[in-house]
Amino acid sequence: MKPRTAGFSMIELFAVLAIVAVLLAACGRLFGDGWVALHRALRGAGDHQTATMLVQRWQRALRATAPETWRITGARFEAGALTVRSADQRLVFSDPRGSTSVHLSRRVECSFAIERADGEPDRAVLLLTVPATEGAPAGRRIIRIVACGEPA
Amino acid sequence: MNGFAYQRRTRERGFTLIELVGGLAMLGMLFGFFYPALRGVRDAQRVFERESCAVIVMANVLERIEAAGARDTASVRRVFREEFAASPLAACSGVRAMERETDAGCVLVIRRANDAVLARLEIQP
Repeated sequence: MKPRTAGFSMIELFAVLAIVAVLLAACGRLFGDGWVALHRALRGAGDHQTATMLVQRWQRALRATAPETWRITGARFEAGALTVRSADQRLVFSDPRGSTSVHLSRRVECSFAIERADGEPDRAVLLLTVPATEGAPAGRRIIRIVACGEPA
Repeated sequence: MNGFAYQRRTRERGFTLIELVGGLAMLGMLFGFFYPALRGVRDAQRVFERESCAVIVMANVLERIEAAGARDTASVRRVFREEFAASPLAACSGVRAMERETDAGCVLVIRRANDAVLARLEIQP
């Protein structure tokens, strides 16, 4: 009987191809996930650093304002001569001396709120909506940044 | 001579089982090294975000109690609870807000599930 030495059979070839395809898919998926996770981590870190910086900026800007003058008009927060507005991925602080702006990433959205409660100082709240890293991919988180002014 | 040729030809048929298992084991080891690194990136990101949120909660608490001028333990606790509940941390499993009264005042701590401290603030009346 002639020994079978002339290469792979069709079944062996398919089996090897299937194993290689599975391994390549697994490697691709793993490296893809790694890349996406790293990229998302870097962007998320940037968003949170911006939020931490905005805490100082928001609180310092509003410290010298009187809560009686606070007003929200559309996407604009007004406190006497100070105006804070969100435009073109920036949070712009304008007063008679000029304006400064903080760059926000495209993933961050800004809004404002004023909280008034009896027996407590009024609070101006800057709400930053950032994408959530856990749970649903479309999930969003709202970070509150509180500032209290000086009553007149 | 013929026997030698036959043996050589049969060895060229493909991988042996040991070679195949060895190759798969090496691939498995590569996965084993890479997967923890991938999880590490995700965990580090999560911890960083939670620390950042915890610092913002503490900054909000400080701003509110300084504006109110009330540093008594009850007021501080209430403000801390309100700010924690309004933060994204309230929805994170395992993250806890804890207050402790000491001789010097009040200690506010936000902890992770493994008891590590995310942020800590001491307030003395």
